[in-house]
Amino acid sequence: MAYIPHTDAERAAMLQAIGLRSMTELFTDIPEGLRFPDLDLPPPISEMEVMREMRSRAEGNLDLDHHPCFLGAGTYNHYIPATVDDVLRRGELYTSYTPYQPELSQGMLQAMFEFQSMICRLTGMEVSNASHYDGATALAEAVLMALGLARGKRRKIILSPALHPQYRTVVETYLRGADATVADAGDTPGGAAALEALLDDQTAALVLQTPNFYGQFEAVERLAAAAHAAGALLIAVADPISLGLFQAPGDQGADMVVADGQPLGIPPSFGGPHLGILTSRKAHVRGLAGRLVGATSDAAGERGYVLTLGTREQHIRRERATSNICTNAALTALAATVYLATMGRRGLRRVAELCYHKSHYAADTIARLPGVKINPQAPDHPFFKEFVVELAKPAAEVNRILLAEFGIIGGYDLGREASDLEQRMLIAVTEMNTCAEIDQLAAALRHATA
Amino acid sequence: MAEPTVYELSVAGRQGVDLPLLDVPESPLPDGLARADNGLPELAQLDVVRHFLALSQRNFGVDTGFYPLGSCTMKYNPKITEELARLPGFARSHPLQPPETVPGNLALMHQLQQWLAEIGGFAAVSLQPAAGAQGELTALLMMRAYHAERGETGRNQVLIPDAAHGTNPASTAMAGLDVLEIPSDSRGNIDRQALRAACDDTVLALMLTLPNTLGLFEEEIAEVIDLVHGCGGLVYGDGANMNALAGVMRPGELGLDLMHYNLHKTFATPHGGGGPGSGPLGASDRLRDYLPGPIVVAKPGAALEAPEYAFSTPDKSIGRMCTYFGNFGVFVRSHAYIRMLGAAGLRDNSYHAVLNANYLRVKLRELYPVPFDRLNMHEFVCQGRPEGSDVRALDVSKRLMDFGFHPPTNYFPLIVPEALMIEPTETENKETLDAFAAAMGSIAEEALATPERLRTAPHETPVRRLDEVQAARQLVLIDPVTGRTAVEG
Amino acid sequence: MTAKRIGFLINPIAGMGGRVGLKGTDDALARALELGARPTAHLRAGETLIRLHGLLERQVPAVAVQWLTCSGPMGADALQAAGFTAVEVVYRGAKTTTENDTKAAVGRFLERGADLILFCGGDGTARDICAITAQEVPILGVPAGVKMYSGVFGVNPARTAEIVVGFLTGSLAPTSVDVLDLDEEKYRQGEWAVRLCASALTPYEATFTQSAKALIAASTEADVKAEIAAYLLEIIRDNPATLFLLGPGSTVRTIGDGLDIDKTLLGIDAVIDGRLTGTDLNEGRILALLDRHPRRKLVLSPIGAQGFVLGRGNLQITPEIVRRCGRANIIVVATPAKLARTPVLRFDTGEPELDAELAGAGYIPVVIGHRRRRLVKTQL
Repeated sequence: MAYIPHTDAERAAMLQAIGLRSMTELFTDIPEGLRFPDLDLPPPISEMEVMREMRSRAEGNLDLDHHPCFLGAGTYNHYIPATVDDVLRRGELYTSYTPYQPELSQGMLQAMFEFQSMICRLTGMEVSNASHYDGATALAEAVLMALGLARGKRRKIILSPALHPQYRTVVETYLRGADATVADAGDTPGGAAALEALLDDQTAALVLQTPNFYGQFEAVERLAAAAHAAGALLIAVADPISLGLFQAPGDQGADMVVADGQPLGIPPSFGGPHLGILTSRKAHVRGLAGRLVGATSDAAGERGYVLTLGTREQHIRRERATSNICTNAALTALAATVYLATMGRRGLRRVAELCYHKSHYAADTIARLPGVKINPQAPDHPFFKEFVVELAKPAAEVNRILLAEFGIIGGYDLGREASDLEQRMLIAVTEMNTCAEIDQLAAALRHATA
Repeated sequence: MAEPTVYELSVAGRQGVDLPLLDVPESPLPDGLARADNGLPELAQLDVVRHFLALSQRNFGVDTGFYPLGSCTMKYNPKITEELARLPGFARSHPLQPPETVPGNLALMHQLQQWLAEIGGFAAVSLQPAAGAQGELTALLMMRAYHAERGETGRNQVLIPDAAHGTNPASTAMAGLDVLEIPSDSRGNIDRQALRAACDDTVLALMLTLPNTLGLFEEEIAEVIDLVHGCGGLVYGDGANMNALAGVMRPGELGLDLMHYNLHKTFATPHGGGGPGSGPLGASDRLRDYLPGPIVVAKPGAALEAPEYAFSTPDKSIGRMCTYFGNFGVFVRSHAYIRMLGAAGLRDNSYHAVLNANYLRVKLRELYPVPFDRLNMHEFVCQGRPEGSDVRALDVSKRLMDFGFHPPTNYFPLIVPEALMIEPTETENKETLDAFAAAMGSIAEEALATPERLRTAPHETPVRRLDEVQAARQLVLIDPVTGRTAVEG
Repeated sequence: MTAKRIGFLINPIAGMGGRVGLKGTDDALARALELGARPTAHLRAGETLIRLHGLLERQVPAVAVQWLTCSGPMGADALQAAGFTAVEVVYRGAKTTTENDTKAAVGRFLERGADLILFCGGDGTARDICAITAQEVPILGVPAGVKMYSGVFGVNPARTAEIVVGFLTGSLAPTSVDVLDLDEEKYRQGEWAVRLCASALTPYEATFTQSAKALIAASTEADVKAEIAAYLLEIIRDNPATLFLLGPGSTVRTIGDGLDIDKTLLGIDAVIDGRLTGTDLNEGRILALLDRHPRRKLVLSPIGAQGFVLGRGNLQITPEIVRRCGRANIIVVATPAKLARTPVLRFDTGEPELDAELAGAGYIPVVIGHRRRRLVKTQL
């Protein structure tokens, strides 16, 4: 076996050193009747064979390299510069673990420090942790943190109705262990007044997504002011690409900004691993869940980096921030670090501009189709790279035609979230979609809804 | 020499990648929403490449050298699995594509669920938890829901042995439950008399790390599980140490109700500098309906040679633990690993992981006291303070770096003073173990002759011992430098 | 950087009683000398100072220390022998050292702005020093006495030196610990009568807790106590109609800090709905309170090392009180660091059947953190 180096002679010598005669004697503590079961697994195969088998399986999928894609809803098809994977494949980095021994982990620690620095500037915040599992779990932790900061005196969380539905369900799961309630704002996406009406002295936090699940910007400044007036925190879920061009929630008054970092150099990978981004104000740093990297100096006065504020992690008081996170998403955070360094100030702005102009071109083109409405839920609200199209037919049916006849992976069928939305489709357009693809989509939609 | 940060390298006007020209008409930007500056640095592509290459050279991974970090299973991660996870059909498929357009992904997930259930001895598996700690939290929420459905809402105590993993208490707190720590006995087992005293109708569950963090298999495991089940509690297995057991026994057959697996440990996916990992959860028959969803199920009625799969959420599911289906890219790697090894290969892994750990214990025990000196499993704990010296485990660890080794886990489990928890894994050869033992021998000599050499270690690393107190006192969590407008001079 | 000032004194006769079978030297020096006891404290002090000198020499950045000490065997000799030069003798003692010498010397140290008082002695010495420092300046003991139950001692001379360095570099924060003492006369007569006599600040070693599979976080003893107190505060808040009787000791006292009440260190205080309703209660007053309050909880912390939960330092809590509260209503609290040097818990109410009932099935749960208990062995 290629992954086990022992020769027969070595095995014998090692057993002798331990004072045993056979390998099976190593397991005498295990109840006898349960030892050495026959497992029903397929017989072993070689690397060459597994490559053939897995490639055939992968090729059975439709993928975004071979099909124009307008699907987003939280996971986006963005360009990944070649620098990213080049760094990710450095064995010194990807085969290391959490940097418990800083002297041997300066590479990863400095990268995490740079991640924190760039994420803070991008979101307009003061502190970022070194990563979370994904955007939804980062939000769930932010909500727990808000409850912790309220020290048990406020137990209500308001979730915007235009929050990604899966984020909502993850928050609800995490709140099963907490003494808190989720207030329902009904289905009035974009309606700031409805959210304001729910704020009261029991509210620990108001959660907004901007651009929201439907792609539209929310009135962050207004709602942050309203939340603060009620003594509550404002948590904003952001799209990191939009921050290349558009205002950062941190600059608009948000107390915490969370995001899924997948657009920053991480492939969709059928939904994971992605990257959770969790940021806060400096005043709340001790309540912030997850790892933090800090700069310090070594015994010779040289600059170095360490994991810091470790005691924070095991402050498990009910009324303090509570988190058990251990392994997080360091490697995808590294991908985002390399991505942001490569794109830089002008590159990210350019990506955001391309998304903005192309999606607006797509919306304008599709709007000219008969019987179609764009963003019927809030037609006047500006959007970034995603928009809702109301069709004359169920979106599922339209998508089948787009795929079968045009090879296009269509937008997200909102009927999967609510049956009365079955004729609505959420379309995402990124820098990866060419003008020709957009024109083809419009033509295909015309055909499919005719 | 410190490596400059990306902001120190930044010069206004540079860019690391060129992007296409706009091929559609421009649309006006909405009023008042654009920002002037997004705060990112500006580097040319070569600057980026050299910077991150320099960072990689200041890091130590399994590919660099021996990494016996206890309870973390730092084994070799086969390169082929990196290739596989990057196949476009996997890496470039979107989670919300209609399931019928990704049959390969569903089949892969279904097979992995089945294989993990088979290896662990459970009725069903959910792949959703993103890491071991999230698997623990998931399990606690499920067990809470299970008891709540039976009207047993007074069960809020979680029994945690003092040789269990440290995330267990934190997960318990997150689930809104109380911790009751159970002491170990003189052989490193759970003190069963204490366990008996703790078992009553307030017990929600026992969290059992198997083997425990001393690297020992509970000698009276059946009695331990019976005691907890006898008072109406459930038993959760922390499977982080499964590298000792895969193919050798199926923990579910002991009567465990739930157990999480760490794909990034036992099933050889890279640790990534601290994730992403994956912590699938196995459930017994009575708890499977509470698993988080969606999970993949086989569609009934399909032909055996061409099975079809669909996503489904169990009846009493506690909900979602993350968006989509979990860390799919990690599933691809572990799936391929299990496929290559088969049952015999997994058993061979456990054999050699346990062989290596016992061999190293025997080689070190004369120099470094082993408080529970009996046959261990995949790891063992010794004291990092050689007889007659007063150095600390941390000093021994730092000095190991100068010999080219990553140190073991320090100071855990807490019940062993100056603990060094050593897990060599099966992928290390005898020469490496001998070289490590020889280094530990030299360090033991130094501890007596020139202890200062240890206290001031490491001497050969890119940086010397770092001041963690300063880091916590004068918090510097972001780079104060924001970039240069032009090259100086 | 300005030099830190350390006041240093040796109780030259500490530890002499133990060698000749006496249980302390406080009042029986003459007897000890008669029995052939020889001074050993200076040896322990020397070991610590030589180690400390070595550690300080290699400290980067350098740490400057200005010593304030007593003449001859009470300090200056040992400092000089260890190689320290920045030494100022601020107290000259008589030939035979007494409790008054210790107190007078400490008084001088404080006048001269000592940042830390390092002493070599036992519980008796610690008690005398505390009487002067009154919780304002941290103290640290080189263990050299016969009895060292107080929380101010390093485990051995080498560790004590490391703690001094930790204090000087700021990595070890001072925390409040209990200072205990035996009544030596009674002890020599075979009776074990420990008193909690004060609390003192001391640079305390961090408590290691694991926050992740391989990440150990160090928290200060003060943090741990605050966490225990936070949990008790929740219980008090959730039970507004319950009478809480808070026992002696610094861990329980932290609960008082959280309630913003002035909890006595050595006495039993009563709290209802977060308000102090009685301080330093005796048996009669406690019984009167129990008459009026059917719901009650008794919060106690064991005495370090020996582990007495009842019967030492809290004799006001008589068997009748314990019985009327009931075993289920006794909440025992202790930090993990205290439990680490307290392997078993004991009850000595004076009534063996009650003690047996309290000891239960050989284990009792002890609150060690927020919503976190540990089962600890009990012994009769």
